Amino acid sequence: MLKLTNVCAQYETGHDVVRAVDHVNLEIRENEIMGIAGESGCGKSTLMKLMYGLIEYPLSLTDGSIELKVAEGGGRHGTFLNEDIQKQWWKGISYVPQGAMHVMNPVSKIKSQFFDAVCDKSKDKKQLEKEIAEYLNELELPREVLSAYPHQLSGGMRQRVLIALATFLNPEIVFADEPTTALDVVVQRGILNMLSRVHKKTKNSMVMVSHDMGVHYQITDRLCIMYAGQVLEVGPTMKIFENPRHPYTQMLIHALPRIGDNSQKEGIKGAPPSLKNPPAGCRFSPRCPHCADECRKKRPTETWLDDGHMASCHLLTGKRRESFAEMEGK
Amino acid sequence: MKFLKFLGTRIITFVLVIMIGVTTIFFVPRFMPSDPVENMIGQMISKQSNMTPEAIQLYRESLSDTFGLEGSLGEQYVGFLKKVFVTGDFGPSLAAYPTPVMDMVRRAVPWTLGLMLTSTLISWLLGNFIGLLAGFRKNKWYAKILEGMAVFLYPIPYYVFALALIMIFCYVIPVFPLSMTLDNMAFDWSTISTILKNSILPALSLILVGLGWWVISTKALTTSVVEEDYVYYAKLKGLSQQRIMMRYITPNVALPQITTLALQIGGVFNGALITEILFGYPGLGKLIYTGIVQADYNLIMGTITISIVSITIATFVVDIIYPFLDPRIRNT
Repeated sequence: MLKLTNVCAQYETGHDVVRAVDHVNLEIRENEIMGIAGESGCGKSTLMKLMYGLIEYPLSLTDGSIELKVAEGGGRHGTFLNEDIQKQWWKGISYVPQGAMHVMNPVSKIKSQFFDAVCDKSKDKKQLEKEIAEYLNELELPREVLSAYPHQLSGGMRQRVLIALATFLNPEIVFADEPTTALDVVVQRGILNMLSRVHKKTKNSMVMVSHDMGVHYQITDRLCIMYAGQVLEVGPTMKIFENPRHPYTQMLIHALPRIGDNSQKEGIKGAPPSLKNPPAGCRFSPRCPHCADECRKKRPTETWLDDGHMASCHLLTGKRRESFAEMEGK
Repeated sequence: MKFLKFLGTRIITFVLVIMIGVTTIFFVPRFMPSDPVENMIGQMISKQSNMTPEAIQLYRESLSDTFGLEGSLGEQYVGFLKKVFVTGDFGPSLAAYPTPVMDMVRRAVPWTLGLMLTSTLISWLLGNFIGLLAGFRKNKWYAKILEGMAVFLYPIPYYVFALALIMIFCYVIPVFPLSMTLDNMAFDWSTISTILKNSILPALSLILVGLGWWVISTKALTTSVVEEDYVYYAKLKGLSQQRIMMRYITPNVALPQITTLALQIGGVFNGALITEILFGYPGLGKLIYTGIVQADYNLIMGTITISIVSITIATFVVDIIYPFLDPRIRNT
């Protein structure tokens, strides 16, 4: 569906260069929900922009390629590369933004925002409105929202409307950029349920960016852990939660609270590196408890473990592999 | 019901503002040290000194009566209000006695309205269009040139600009007449062409000077609206630039500009004081000027009351129509 090969991208800010995404390989498969997790500033949103084909100043693609394959009707498939992905906007791929507060035009009704996005002149408006109302009904949204203005809806309702707006044309990939930010947990749950309902119904792919591991646990099929612009670990979500292989993921999951577990949780000491001048070897090495000489000097390679589980860490290759496995066993 | 309540409070405010304005304009001239009746009698005595004290006293009483200056300040005020609100009569002009002030105003209003409405509207439309273009297509060469022109025009003081226009187009290249010359007021082609020929220069000066501000303010508004999330998201929806411009940017930029336009249209009744003086244009502005120069109290009160009422009406109209334009402040 969507394939990223060795993607490097950077922001140019005056005389500085920020390498926000560095040698990323990733594939979004058909009918899956892919989660992208990582702390603030790790390149999640940049990666999302790249996948959406939104490559424009100050962001630029320096290496690699992004390839989108979508059905174009009549059994034919179209392939779109890098910026050309824009041609598929809203038809083939769509986007649910974060912060539903300000993404709707304050002076026009929800109805006309739907008409705007649909842009289908072959249908007359009455017919289209009926179809939209039916679709909203399927998603358990009241028909009345169509004649409301954005400010008349609550935050959760707005987010739901945006999801409906993004999925109405049945695109093959839906990107959701932190769709549950700034909402309380009850509403969050509603939004997540709605997303997975849409996913089950349409069988499309979904990419979900969030820093909330709980959200990923609930909804995603596969999970990608990012750190400082690189992908550290990719694999089926359950596997990553049960058996994380990268030290960063291990520490991240260890820090999550669990029911019945009263032990004191510890954060990961230190702060992510500056992307203007990242560490030479493994980017996590300054904070890694298992850091050795080779970690500081050499970039770890991607190691495929079992069943599409990938992690890039020196501990998984070479001499230290056995001792690490032993330690993990304890 | 809620709308009626809203309307009710607006109407009360409307009436209060007009009352306060009219009261001020009644009292301020009366606190001035000079008295128009004594001034007039003084003028008369200096012309013919053989008047008896009785005749002077008689004159004083009849003048006070005609000018509405009989009795105490309170009685005068009540009489003034009665006259203004019941009959719409501001009394005779003192300078052009005995022409009623209302007649003079009535004669001046069409001139001022014709000039000011057209120039304000043209200036607004053109300025907003250029401003939108300059804000939306920031990096295009034509946008930069248009904005540069606006920045150049804006800080020029109006009188300098108007005088420069007069010098260029009346002396150096004499295409337009220096001041209004209207022989007959028959409604025919020659009258219309004379009026147009006489109005082009004042209108041009008003349009160009107004344009600078409209372009700069609209451009500033547009640049901030362009950076709003909803515009960015509209782009991600794959909408065309024209559509984003028409449906997302223009309505959001136009809202505050419509308010300013309505207030300016209210101010139209002031006339353009300097324009009308410089170009010898027979409108309300020139009338106010005449009233002040010749200490014509009734004329000042008449013209200024007209402008107070019209500005208040404009504000009132904006208040009433704004909920229909901006759904966010609509009372439902």
